[in-house]
Amino acid sequence: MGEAEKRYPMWDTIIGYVDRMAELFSTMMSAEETGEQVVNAQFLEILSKYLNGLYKAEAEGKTKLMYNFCIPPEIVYALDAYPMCQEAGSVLLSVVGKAHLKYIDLAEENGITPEQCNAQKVWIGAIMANEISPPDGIVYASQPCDSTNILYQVIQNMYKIPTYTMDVPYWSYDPKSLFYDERTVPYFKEQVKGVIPWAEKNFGLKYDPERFKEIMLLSNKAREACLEINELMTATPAPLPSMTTFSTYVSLTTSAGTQECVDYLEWTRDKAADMVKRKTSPLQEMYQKEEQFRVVWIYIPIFWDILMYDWMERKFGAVTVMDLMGYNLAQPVDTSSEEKIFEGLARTILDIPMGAQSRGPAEYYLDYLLHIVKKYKADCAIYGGHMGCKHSWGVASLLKEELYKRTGVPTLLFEVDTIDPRQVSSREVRKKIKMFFKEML
Amino acid sequence: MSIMEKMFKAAADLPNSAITEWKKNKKVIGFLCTYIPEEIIYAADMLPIRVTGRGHSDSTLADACMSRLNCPFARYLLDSVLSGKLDFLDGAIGYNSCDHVRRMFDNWRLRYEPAFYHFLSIPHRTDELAMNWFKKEITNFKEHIESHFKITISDENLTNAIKVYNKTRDLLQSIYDLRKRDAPPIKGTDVAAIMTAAMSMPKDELNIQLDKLLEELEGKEGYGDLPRLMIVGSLVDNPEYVRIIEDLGALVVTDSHCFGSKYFWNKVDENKPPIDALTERYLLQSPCPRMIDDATGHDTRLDHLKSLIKEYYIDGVVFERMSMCDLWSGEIYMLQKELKELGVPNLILERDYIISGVGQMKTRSQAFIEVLK
Amino acid sequence: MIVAGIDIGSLTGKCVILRAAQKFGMDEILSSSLTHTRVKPATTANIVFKEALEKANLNQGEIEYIVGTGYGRVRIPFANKNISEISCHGRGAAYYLPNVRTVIDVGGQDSKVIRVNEVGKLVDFAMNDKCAAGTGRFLEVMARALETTLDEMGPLALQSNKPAMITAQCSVFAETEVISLIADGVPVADIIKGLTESIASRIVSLVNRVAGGLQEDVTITGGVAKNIGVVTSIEKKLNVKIKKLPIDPQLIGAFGATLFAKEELMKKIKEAPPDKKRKLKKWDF
Repeated sequence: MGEAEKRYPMWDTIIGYVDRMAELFSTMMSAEETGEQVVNAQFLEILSKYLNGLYKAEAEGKTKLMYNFCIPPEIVYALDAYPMCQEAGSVLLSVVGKAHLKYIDLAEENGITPEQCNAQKVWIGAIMANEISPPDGIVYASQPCDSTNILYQVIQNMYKIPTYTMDVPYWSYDPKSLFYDERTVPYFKEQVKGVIPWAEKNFGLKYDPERFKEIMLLSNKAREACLEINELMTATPAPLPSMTTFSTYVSLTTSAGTQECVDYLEWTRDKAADMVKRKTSPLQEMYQKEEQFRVVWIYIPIFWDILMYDWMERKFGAVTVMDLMGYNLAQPVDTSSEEKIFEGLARTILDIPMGAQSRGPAEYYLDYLLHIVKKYKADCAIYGGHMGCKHSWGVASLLKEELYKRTGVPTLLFEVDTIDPRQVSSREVRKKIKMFFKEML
Repeated sequence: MSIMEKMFKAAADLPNSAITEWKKNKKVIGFLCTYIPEEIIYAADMLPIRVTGRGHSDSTLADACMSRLNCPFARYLLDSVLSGKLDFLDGAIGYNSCDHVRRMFDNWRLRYEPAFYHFLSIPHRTDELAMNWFKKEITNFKEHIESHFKITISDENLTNAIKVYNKTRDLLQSIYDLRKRDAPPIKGTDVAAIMTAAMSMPKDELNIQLDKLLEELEGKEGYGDLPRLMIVGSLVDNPEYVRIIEDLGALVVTDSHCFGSKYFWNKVDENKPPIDALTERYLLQSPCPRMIDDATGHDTRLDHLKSLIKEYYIDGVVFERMSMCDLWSGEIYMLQKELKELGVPNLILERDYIISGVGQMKTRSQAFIEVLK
Repeated sequence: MIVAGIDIGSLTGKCVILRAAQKFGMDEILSSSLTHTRVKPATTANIVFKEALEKANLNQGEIEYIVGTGYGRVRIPFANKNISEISCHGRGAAYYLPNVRTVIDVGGQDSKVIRVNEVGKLVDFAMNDKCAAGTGRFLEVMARALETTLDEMGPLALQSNKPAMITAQCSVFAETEVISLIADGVPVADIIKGLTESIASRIVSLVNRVAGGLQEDVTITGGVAKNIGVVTSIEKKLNVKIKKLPIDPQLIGAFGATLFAKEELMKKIKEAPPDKKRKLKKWDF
């Protein structure tokens, strides 16, 4: 057609960083030799492929479906559409630099209340600045929180495009039933199935059950590898750097169902297995340090200072062995029939990190914490409480008290905006962490 | 005491005299939201009371459990609970209306242990699947009350409760209808007191009072020649909030918040089996911003607002936004733009749960009223 | 007809006494006064009123109508009526600048943008009264931290080409930031310029919130209008020339109040028709 390809500044900022870093790593020696404490080349490649996939999708005239991070992308891939993960865009922009600040300011100047969560506000600001690609449709679930619920309504209102919503039921607590009651999965499964006819009707997409099965098989392999990684991280010393949970989580959220995702996670798992066999750790190999503290970061990382994990390792020998987003409860899915696949996918959504902890009473979150603190033999917990996150702040004190009462594990709890670095500075956060570790010694 | 004096007294504090009287030989159950099917509780011959932090002015205990980032409405209610003020309750009914409220219920349940506790999981959608889910929730709720309190709630009990509640809805609607007039015979401040009182006393007694009040209002000279306002937002349970605005020279003639018109908006269908009828009425009521399907989503809510603006000849809309409330922040963001496009003057007031920052509130409200003059 | 307007703000109290023209002639300001606000608004009102009376050589009985405005307006015991400072600033500015449509008021503890129509009537407004950032109080605090005075800050800002970046949202944190900038050796002029840029940005976002956005002519009232640094920054950001007022911009609120007092008095003595009865608004959407 000869038309110049339309570029989106917000998206390009992330691509620019990712591609630069990927190039940097590929010019170094092979992946194994560098040790790659901070971020590894294969993860960057997945990310680059995913992000550039937006332009490829537009060039090919593919449908773009926006979804929230509590929905895995497999179903969008199955429809041969491009999955635009809203939170991945908002959050990754804050990881790679400061470009998101102007979007936050623009959104707030135009009437979005400052106290609302920046995980959606960044994208909304980019929409107002007309610097991000408009989706053709939106799919979202009513979890984990109010902010998702209402800001997706706002995005829908801004674009006026077809939107498919799923109601995640709040579940009553029963310790015997392991997070489900008999109604939850069938109720949710029907809603997940409903995406297909909705997409076919609104965008003329063709659902191919065979392709769906293939995608789920790949997704299963990826999730299995992730579960194995999580098992291997229980070893002392921890066989992977703290940043791992960030990369495994982001790769699953954007690319589960693709071969690259499987390759990356299996490669990571093999690396971890190798470290465990040799009874060593990246901390030892890179920094010649002993593991002093095993930290469980019981929330999302501070995205604009993701290297804080690395700083904690170097300075205190404190390895973040697990966090909220990395611990994937989602099991591989039974692919023996289409019904089983939808049921499995429903369970995956119900069990997704952060979704699982917030779709029920406090015990959901507490039981999960008790479980991982024990499993990973954590010495302490850190909770960088995101200022926009009302549901977690509502029980933060409760969780801290109960965790200490039942396991003796202390929790460092502080306010921070995990996306906007201007609210609480890096210096302040690191000071708090320093004092915490000093007290523990 | 005049009827209005009784209403103000009943609305001011918890417990009030109606509750204390009832408690002499019957039980009281606290609930929080318009989505809770009160008739179930009433049919069990227990008094459903809509609890808030009214009459309570401290939040220190609650702030230690939750955080300053949580909505003050939830915190003041939690503080009332933790300070023992709501010990008269024989039970509490929770529901996943919003993050702040459900975490508030977690704290209530785990730290204070109400005598009876039931949590309703209410869908964010209203299609057949969601209706079936909600119907099961209501059934579970009824059965839990029956087993815990060792009573039976018959269909007849439910039908009678529905009749009483429908009468209340009719009467409250009649009061609101009077406000469509050129010179409404009742101020917004008084209606706010009536609404909160309505949720704090037995409905059959309330109906008698409202009947009498409607008679009194019929011939009463009205308040004309004032800018006509509508309050939209999360809730106003304290009539003094409305008084501050009206005293500056305006009249609040209607509202769309859940201590106002949302409470009585649609009736229960008395021709359907009671549980089905309750399921339908409560899920399809005038929707809260938490609802996300097409039938109850933002566009539907906007249409509802537009029809109220027309029916009540509204000069200006006052949005009241409880601080930290995500749902209403987003909703007001959208509504305020849409109303601006339609040419409807509007004002956004951010508020704490307790009435504070009155100077700022008065300056903005007064200037807004001057715009409308 | 002699009327008075009293504006009790958070930092200062002002009074203007006006001889209002009835049918012929011009309105004439007889006197004005300004004082710093005392703890009790009523006290401030009494002091500033007395001062203005003395200057005009009048006694209280000769004032036929008094309108109070400002944050302390409800506590002026001898006022006949009170009107918001938003209306008063708009009205007062429009009297001197009939083409003004946007009035920016940066006061002691809040900042606002006021939209008036062709007869100076308030049509819309946007306010920032949530925190001190971008107000007179903010500048006061910063002046102390920078060991300078409010009067010096304006000219100092103009000397800088390299405004320091003040990133803190909140004025309390901004003060900390400024102190560390001083310690880092950043020139005072650059810091002040950074602060004025920050205030100007807030004003610009308020302008975007009023109905119709930026509409000329634009003017600025309130104490901060005397800060040439802030005024210049706002002009640059909005790309307009701000029209100056011929009287002290800090007095515009009290002056606007006198105009309302004149109106009320005319109605009272039947020189003007009473307010029209309201008609029910019929919407057609």
